[in-house]
Amino acid sequence: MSTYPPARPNAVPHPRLGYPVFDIEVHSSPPDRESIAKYLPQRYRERYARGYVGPAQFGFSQRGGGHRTDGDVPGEQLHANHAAPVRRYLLEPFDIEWAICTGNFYFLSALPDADYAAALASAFNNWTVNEFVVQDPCLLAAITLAPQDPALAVREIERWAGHPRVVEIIVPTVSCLPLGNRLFHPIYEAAAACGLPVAAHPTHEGKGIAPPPTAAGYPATYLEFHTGLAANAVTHAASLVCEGVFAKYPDFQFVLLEGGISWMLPLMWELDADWKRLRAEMPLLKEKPSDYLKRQFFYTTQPIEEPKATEDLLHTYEMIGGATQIMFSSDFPHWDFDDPFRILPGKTGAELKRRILRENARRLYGRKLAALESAVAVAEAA
Amino acid sequence: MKTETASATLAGTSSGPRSTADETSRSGALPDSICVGAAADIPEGGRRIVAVGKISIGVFNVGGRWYALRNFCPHWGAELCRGRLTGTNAPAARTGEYNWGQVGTILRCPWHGWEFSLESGRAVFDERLKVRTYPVTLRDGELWIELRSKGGAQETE
Amino acid sequence: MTTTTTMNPSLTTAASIPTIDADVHVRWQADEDILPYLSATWHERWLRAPGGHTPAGLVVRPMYYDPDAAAYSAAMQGPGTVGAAAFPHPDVLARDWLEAHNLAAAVISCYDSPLIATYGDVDYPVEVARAVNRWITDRFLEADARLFGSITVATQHVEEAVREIHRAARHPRMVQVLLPAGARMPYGHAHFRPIFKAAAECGLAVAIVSGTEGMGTSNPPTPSGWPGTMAEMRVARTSVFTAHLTSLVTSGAFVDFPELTVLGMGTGVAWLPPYLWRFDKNWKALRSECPWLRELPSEVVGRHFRFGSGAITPVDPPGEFWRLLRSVSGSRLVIHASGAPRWDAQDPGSSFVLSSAPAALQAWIRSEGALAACPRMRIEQNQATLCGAGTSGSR
Repeated sequence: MSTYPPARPNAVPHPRLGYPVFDIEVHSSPPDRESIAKYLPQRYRERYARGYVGPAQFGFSQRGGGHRTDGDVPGEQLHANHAAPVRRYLLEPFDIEWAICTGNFYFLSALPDADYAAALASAFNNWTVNEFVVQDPCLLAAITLAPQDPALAVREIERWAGHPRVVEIIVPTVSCLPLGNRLFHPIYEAAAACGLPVAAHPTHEGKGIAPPPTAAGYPATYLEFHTGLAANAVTHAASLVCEGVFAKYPDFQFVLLEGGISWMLPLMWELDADWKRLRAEMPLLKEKPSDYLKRQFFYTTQPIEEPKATEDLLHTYEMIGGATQIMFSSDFPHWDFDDPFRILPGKTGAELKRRILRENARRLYGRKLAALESAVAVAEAA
Repeated sequence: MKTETASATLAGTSSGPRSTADETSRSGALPDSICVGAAADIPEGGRRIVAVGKISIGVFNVGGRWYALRNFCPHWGAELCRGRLTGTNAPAARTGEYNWGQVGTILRCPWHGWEFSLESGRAVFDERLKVRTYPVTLRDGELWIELRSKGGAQETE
Repeated sequence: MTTTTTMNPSLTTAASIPTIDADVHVRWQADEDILPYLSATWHERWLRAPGGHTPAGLVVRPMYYDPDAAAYSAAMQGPGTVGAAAFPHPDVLARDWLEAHNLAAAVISCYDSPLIATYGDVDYPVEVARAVNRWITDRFLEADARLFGSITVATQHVEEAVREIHRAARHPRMVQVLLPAGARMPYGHAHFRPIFKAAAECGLAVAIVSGTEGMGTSNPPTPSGWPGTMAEMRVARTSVFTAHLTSLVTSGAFVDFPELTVLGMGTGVAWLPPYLWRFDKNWKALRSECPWLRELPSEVVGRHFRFGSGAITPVDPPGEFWRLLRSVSGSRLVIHASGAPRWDAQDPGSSFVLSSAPAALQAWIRSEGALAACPRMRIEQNQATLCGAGTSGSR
């Protein structure tokens, strides 16, 4: 670790916790197209090199969006296209011990061409694992899938499952169908069999082959779009439980990235009530929906919700069984970055804080951490 | 990681600023004013971030006017003064009314994008929310931040 | 669903407060009833129905199967007992609902009419909307002074919709414009603004009603298309409403029309506070996109949105529900609206909201909220111990 430049002396000292933090979400991004193109089959290189990523280029103007700008050159955007800025602006200043690189290829599900999407996923995963996470011993990899062809997606899972740094599968939340649809079940079955949680991340809602980003149609502003992303998170949560994914695969674990948390409380009220009345259409469910959600559904904190009274946030966490399911995420290097030392309300108990900032993630991703940590210990002793 | 003494941290400048009362800064209290270097070293559109005791202050040169404010976002403590300088659409009375203004004097926090006026230190979305601003004076080509008095921009001749 | 009323001591005092049911559904008995209001051009189409299915006229054929809903059976037109889709006759409505539950007034709407705005063509829905409004005026409003009406519009043709609002509002007991939640665009878009302007000019509220999500020409009911189960579909309905709410607030509908109230019917409300936590947060960062929005979105919502109690899922313990609403200063967000005679309609005696609401909110939920939302609504003196309630609202 000493091979990296020291973090910038921070003029605003952070409160310390006494233990390091686990960050579930870092947006690693390839520095240039060639980084990806070289891993693509010959037939796709030209189209990618020319910039074709389907409809993903269309988007809402982000007048306030973009990336963090508090690097050495103020006002200039930070990028996680190399491990050095991640170390300098994230890992060191925020005491982060492990960070999962979740990439930025969430447009894949919007592409009409399933083969091209799957090839891009493979190429991107090659770059993530072989070129990015190897740069820093604290970085872990999430494997991005294009779910259009579940068989190809399963093959991609199996290709990476044994890699020591690969701890998670990630799919875009932009989708033609709610993620609980049985077309996707082979993906979940494979991930569960490999002991890998499946995460989902928003961004390209409403693009390409997906329906509009809100169920009332296209909104007008980024403010509406970003706020409305919660709707798709709710959609997928309800779908995963009602269409029986959790019941069918007890080892399946789902991680929602950037989707918010507190809406789960009214959703649990709703689904539990509906289940009593409509259980005939959910024959796989042996317990009430909230029972599955409290065990198999995991949340990430960023962007943390900000009610006027922070007690309300902690109260919803408690009601949904969040103490074991909520994990810290920074969203580095994006504009709505969250600081692990400050986002949790002052009244958060020490035990809950420690679980959210560290322990829940260590438990969820623990299978591979033990091996990695003992390897580090051996290396340090040598 | 903590900055022990006052030091300029930007643009390759590492000479510590002189203050009117160096000994008080070491004891924790702030001096009356602090020199952040030669005005000529900060070009138009440029800025410098200096640590003064336990706090950090950003000094900005916008079109020949100087601004100084606390480098600390009241939201979650980001280094506000590393944000992007831009303009904003001023609060409007009617729909469809866009008054793009304050060009170059709106500072967007690098985390979460809150907009602050360099001039007043106030957040655009809520005027009651304010970041401390300081007067900047030019003495013999040197920039001094007046730490004791409140105030905003100072015109240079 | 059958909360014992004796649990809440506030109900003994509340018994003296007149109650308005802000969401009651009516429907014609025979398709021929509408013919006098339709020009001959459309008679055949009306009687044959789009799919040759009976009952004709407009046909609600939901995509998802709900074992408790009446839409699939003859009970839709049944003799008006609770559990049918709609009351077919004002006398039945009066006997089985108003008088049975001691209601001072009801806001009625045609059960099928939200569908009109989801039709693909233009001239037919324009004419059908007008016909339904004329029918509901003659058949119900003229028959019983305790009934207040909703104006159906064809959003496909905004100019005609505006014309129809002004025409139908000539009846003094038309109190709101009805829009379906299922739509091709969120309602804050400029396309729809003249409809809101007309509503505001006439002193009408706008009610956005759940039920047509994903139907006809409206967009898929979730941002990821069609879910697999009815339970998911019920959840999706809340998300559709959030899209309209966000759009209306962001686009400045309430800057343009500061007296306007938008009602959510059949949408529930418990999902709202967490949504507003995120909306408020995002506004602080992105307000420059909509500079006319000069306060927290939750403040705007708290002033301009009201939600019918009908589709609110009972929460145990109820205090959790009210706690969540309080987190966004939402104490005045809910008004009594049953959705009767729908299978899950709650009369005032069995209402989860009324049986659990704090005493201080009883008058608001029972009548003051609806009177404030619909400024044209007045309660007859003999029913009103709430003199002046219409002016003691939120504004």
